[in-house]
Amino acid sequence: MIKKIHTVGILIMLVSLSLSGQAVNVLKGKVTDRSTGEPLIGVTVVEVNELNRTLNGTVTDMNGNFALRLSAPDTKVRISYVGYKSEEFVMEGQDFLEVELAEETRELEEVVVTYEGKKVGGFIPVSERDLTSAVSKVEMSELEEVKASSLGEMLQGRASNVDITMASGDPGAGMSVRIRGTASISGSNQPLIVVDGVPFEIELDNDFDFSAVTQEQFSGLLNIAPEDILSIQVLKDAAATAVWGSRGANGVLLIETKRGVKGKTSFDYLYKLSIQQQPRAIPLLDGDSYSMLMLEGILNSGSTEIPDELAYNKQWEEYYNFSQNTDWLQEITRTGVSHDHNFSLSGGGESALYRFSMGYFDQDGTTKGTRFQRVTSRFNLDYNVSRKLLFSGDLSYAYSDNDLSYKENNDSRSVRALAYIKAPNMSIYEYDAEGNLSDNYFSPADNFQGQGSQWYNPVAMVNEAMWNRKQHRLRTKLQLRYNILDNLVFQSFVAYDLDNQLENKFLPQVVTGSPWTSPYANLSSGMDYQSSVLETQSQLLFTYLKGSRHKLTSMIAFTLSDRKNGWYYGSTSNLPSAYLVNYAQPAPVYWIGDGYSQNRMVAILGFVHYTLLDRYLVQLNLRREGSSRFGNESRWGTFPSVSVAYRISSEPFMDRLGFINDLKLRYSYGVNGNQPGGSYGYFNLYSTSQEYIDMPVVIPTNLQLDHFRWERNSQINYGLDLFALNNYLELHFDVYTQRSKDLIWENLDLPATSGFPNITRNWGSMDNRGWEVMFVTDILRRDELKLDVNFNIAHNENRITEIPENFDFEYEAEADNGQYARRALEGHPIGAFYGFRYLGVYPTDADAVATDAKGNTIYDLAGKPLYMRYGNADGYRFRGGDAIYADINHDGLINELDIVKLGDSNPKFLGGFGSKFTWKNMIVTLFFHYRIGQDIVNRTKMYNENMYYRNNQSVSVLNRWRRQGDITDIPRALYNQGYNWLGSDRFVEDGSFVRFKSASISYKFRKLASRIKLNEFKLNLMVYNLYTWTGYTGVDPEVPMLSNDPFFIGEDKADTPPPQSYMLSLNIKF
Amino acid sequence: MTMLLFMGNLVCGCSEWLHLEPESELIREEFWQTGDDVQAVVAGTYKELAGTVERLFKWGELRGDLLVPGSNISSMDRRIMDGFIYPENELNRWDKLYRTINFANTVLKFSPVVVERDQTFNENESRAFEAEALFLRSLSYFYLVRIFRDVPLVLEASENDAQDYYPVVSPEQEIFQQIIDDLNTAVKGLPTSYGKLAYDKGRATKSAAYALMADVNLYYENYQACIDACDQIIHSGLFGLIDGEDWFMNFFPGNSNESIFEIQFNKDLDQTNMLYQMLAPYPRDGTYPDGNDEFRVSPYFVKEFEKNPSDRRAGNRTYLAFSGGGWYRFATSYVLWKFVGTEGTPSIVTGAAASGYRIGNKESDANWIVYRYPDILLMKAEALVQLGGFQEAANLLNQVRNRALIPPAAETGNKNYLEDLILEERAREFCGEGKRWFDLIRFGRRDNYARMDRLIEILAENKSYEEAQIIRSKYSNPDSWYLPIHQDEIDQNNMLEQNPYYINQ
Repeated sequence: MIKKIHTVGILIMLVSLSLSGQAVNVLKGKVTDRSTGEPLIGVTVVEVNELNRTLNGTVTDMNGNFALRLSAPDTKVRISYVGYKSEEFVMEGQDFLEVELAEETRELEEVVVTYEGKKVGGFIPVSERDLTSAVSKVEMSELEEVKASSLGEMLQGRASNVDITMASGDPGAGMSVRIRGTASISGSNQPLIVVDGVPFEIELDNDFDFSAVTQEQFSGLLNIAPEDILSIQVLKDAAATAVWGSRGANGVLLIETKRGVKGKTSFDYLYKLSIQQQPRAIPLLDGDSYSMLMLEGILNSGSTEIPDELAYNKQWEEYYNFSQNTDWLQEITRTGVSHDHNFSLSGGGESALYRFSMGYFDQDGTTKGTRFQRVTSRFNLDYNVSRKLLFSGDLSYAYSDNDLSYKENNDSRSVRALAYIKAPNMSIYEYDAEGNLSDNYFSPADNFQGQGSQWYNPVAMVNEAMWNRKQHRLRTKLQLRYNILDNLVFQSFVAYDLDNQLENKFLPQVVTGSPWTSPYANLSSGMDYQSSVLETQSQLLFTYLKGSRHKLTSMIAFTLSDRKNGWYYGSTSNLPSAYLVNYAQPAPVYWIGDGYSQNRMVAILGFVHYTLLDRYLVQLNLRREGSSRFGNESRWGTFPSVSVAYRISSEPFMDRLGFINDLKLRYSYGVNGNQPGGSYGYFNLYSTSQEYIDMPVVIPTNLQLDHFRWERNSQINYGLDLFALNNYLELHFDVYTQRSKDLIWENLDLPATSGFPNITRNWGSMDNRGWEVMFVTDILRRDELKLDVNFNIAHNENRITEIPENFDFEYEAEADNGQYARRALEGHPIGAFYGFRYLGVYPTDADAVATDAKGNTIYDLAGKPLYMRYGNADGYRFRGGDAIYADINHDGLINELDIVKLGDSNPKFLGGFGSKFTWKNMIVTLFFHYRIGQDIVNRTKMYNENMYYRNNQSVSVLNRWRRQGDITDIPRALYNQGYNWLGSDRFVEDGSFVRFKSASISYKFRKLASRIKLNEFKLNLMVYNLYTWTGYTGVDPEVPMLSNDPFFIGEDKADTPPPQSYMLSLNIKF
Repeated sequence: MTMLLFMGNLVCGCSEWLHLEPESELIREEFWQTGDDVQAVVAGTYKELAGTVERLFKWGELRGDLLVPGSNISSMDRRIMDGFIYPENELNRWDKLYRTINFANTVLKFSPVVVERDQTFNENESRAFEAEALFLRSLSYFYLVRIFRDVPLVLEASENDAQDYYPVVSPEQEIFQQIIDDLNTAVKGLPTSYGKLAYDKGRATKSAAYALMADVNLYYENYQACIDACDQIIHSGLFGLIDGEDWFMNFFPGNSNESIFEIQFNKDLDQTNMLYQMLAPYPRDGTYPDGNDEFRVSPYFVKEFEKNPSDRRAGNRTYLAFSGGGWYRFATSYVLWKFVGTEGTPSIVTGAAASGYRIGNKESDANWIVYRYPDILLMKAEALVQLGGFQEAANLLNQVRNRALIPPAAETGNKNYLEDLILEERAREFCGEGKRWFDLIRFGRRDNYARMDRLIEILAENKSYEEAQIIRSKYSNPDSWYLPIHQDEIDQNNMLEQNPYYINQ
């Protein structure tokens, strides 16, 4: 730092000296266009010193003439004009200069980061060719034809071993990203997203109390317009992520936005119109079949009472309200439409380069009542003060306004799931006793199906209930770059990121039908979340080149971040009117809460990359990171990594194999760390609680963590990069093993004798192994005809290698209706689940007997056959029509001991493939996305076939067992009794799919464009999610993997599946 | 190089910069500064115990013979009542009692530290708070040994992750000894009165500690010690039996002259429990009382009660005959009235604000009575019987009977007869107050299980032949009188040993 100040001081002295000591010297001249010969007006003419720092300047007049006072006769003059190539002249005492400027032609394909050259890995200045670590690059030029509204949609399947699942098909929904599987047992497994070198937080702080909001909808709101993105890189192995430290331990997604390029100002406008169609739903029973089913279930359960709702008694006053055939799903579904406008302006001259963009996106979702609006704006400016000094300033602001389907909390059903189970014999609007329809919603608080949030009228929900979220996101970045010497550069930035989210929910009385005094009548709630992050980073880069023998790049960097989060939420009920939807009304408070947290990170990083003879490459990293989330003892972690590569193709003996253009073998080993999610976990906290009598209460709420330390993830990666056949073929292959040690278990169960339910500890280890292949080939590469094919595939295997000794590996109740056992077992992956084997349905009562291993009936001492029972000897006795489960241990009982492994939520293979075909002005692209080998719990099927509640069911239950002797595989209807829907393989399905993700055709109208004086005029037609090949019987096999829960399993809960969409877009450049 | 040094310096300063403390919560380093801090954690210990009230009720009553399942009983509770008890049952969770114990241990550890920090907080004040903590810890352990028998004895406050949280179980004798030692210390530190009714009844006093001491000694057959403790209370003159007419005032509004220690609830301060919810009937037509009907008084026990129609405690002072209100009618059942009603003579009506009922969910704030004066009289009587003081025992028993307006019992010189009479009297007096099961096993354990057969008879009496058979076989093994340790605890702590009765099941 001190040295830098000196340098600047010396510089200033030099400048002033040179200014004062020279004789007067005036240069005159004229600037014309080289091709037309016409004078150019407003051309910048400047005198610069040897560092390209401007000393003096002027502009040409109406005739292209200028006059400039020079400080010395032998100085340098630069002439530049927007849209023309700059010229530089060294004066030799002349006083007249005639200049012809040539127009600068700009190819759009050449859009590269202008001031730093092509670099890879964020702030590591190593070219892609010399990489020694595992980095995938997603070429935006490939994606240019793919018009998407969100980054997630665009990236799905594009980079190998990057598993992206969307939270739902609702507009504005978040996404989940896993790079090389699940590495951490607690906390987030989302990768770090870095935009223009600055980490971009996409998750709420862990200290945030999620009791009031749904986390899944909240996560992953990356509000960047895809049109602003220049390139995306995925850093995978520890050697590549190590420079990003613990935040990047789950991989890093580096996003570079477009910047201004030198040339005439160009305008770019893109409009996209798209229409979305919901895929076909599972067919459900109509009102009459539903009534029949309910009656049967109630009778089978031993009751003889016929509820009025099923009795078809016209005398009953509610008869008309309960004798309809309503298709609830149909009623809440519509065709979605979205409009997307993007406008950008970019250009720049000698000293300043700029790009400004604005976007407006408005989408109506396929579920009624859902909408997403987004305004994005971005301004990137680079200003060259001199050849040595460069300033850049970036500013981006995004605003989104999202209407979601009302959902009470994380565990509540979505409105779509609600429509799946709502009684179809009920009317949407209320009838009176004579059968006259009114326009009031029919939403009794307590109806035949029950009371509470899962029995609200779905149509009233989508039309009247409100859940709105608004987000403001402002990011700024100021960066300075100073070339101290040719090979020594100092660079520093300060970035500030402000995120404000406001949420408002309202549940009017017309939806719940609850009495005005109930806390659910006109329930209004709101939340205000604010987060601000300050990031700074300073780095000193040194490069050394000696011929082609030695090439050394090194860096030392210092970075820190400071994040503050604050939130407030509140809820009031019994608001006097359905129009007062703001929770801050003077009304009874239902609940209220607030919080604040702060955390900080500091790191210092050293980096060296050395290339010998263009063949032997080695890179070393060392990062020392401190985090405020740890106590004093374990605050600092040191994370080294080393990677080497061998470029065989540069060996002289490889010259014979001319078809290989480049062949490189890579090896890397690195360690990275993970920190806990919460900010103050290591303190022994005391908090106030409700009073006793009138005495204030304070109690300790957790245990102090003295032995809590960093989770360490080490990774070994072997890779191969091959370019062959005159670069027609490109192949990347990586194999890796990753081991996470000292896993951070947040809230590990503790024996209750300690007085605390759980503790956070480092315990156990977990492995991820896998491989990935990426393959691109240009089949045709002619001037007017191009065809390329790309393909990627990845495999990841997760395995728990060590679990805590006293760890209770079971999750909740194991053997119960609807429950799947989830166990963390050594040698098994996270995401495996366990349950019963379903073998069909007992045809008669007499068939439900216990059998031994040979299949012979077991008899009791009295010689009577032993009947199958649930749980223990006095449990429920199975009868004809009940589900048969495999009695693994042949004890005549179906209980925990009969649970076997059923499936694994992790996909075996995932990836994508596609093709691009260019012929003259037409471009056609196709893209497919696949995930193979993951098992899904089909909850929708479970809830629609269990015949246990008063839920509507799917038409498949028409095939149910009805009387003794029936042979079928669907059990009998049995209301509120029995165990016909234990977590069994009946509801587990293979969720493999190959999806025809997108197809597009675009055409550039060149002649038309030039006639109407446009640079470009392009039309694009695109189809999303055209077809999915899958054996899965649910609506959609892409189930979100969003939770941070180590026991998470893939479940299809009838969220809005990704819709089929048709998009027409128009692109104009001028 | 300069840069390197500069950064090096920065990193040293950074550790300080990285130390962030939470703003919305206290950390231990900031806490434990004043006497008020100590009192706040003592209050927290009571609060935690208050959170166990529903379980105290179930632990003390479900396996007894006074209650039967209601229409909305949970399957877990039903299994306990039916005698099908497995380690997975939720009622086997002891977490809340151990939380109470841990808070008490925390007070015991830090209160002496505060004395050094706070000039206005002296050693005597500290000792009083420590005595309250000792009382609450003893009470919790006494529940634990009666429910589970051998349990881990934890006397250290849980503070950090360096401690061992995997204790072994201690034999009940060891825990008994600890309780007696602690109570002897506590009784010295505790005040006789706090000068405020809710505190005198809702916090530990000398009398409360003597009551607990009497109960513990009676259970462990130290009869003279029990009598001595009872005498301390009887001779204090602080308590007396209230007039039979006013008997129900023990429960509504509570904190009567009989009360020695009761856990306080107050709806105005949002301090409520689930007793009303569990016990009030469920009329299904939207009228009050709007409970969940989980447990009812056994019709068999009602018949016993009605043998003495003059009993002031009979009828709708203890149980209310209920057959639905409004349009929805069903067979008569008996509501345990103590935590539901406001007075002895309710009017059976269906209106929302029917007089006689506490108003449902809005007022679920009945106090939980741990000890009241008749308990002392009957405990002393029970101890006297064992030591041969039959006449004095009968006199004490008749004190309670007279107040209830039922004929006095005659002293026949028959020990068993008198013992049975006292047990019966306790059932009538304390029905639903979470004592019955503990009374029964105390009776059954006595003199090396001398009268175990009678205990089993009491439990089997009003059951079907089949059920009675199961009960006879099950309860003939005294290990079955205690609940199993919850399976989660066994899974989480490899050092624990399950009650042998439940291992081979």
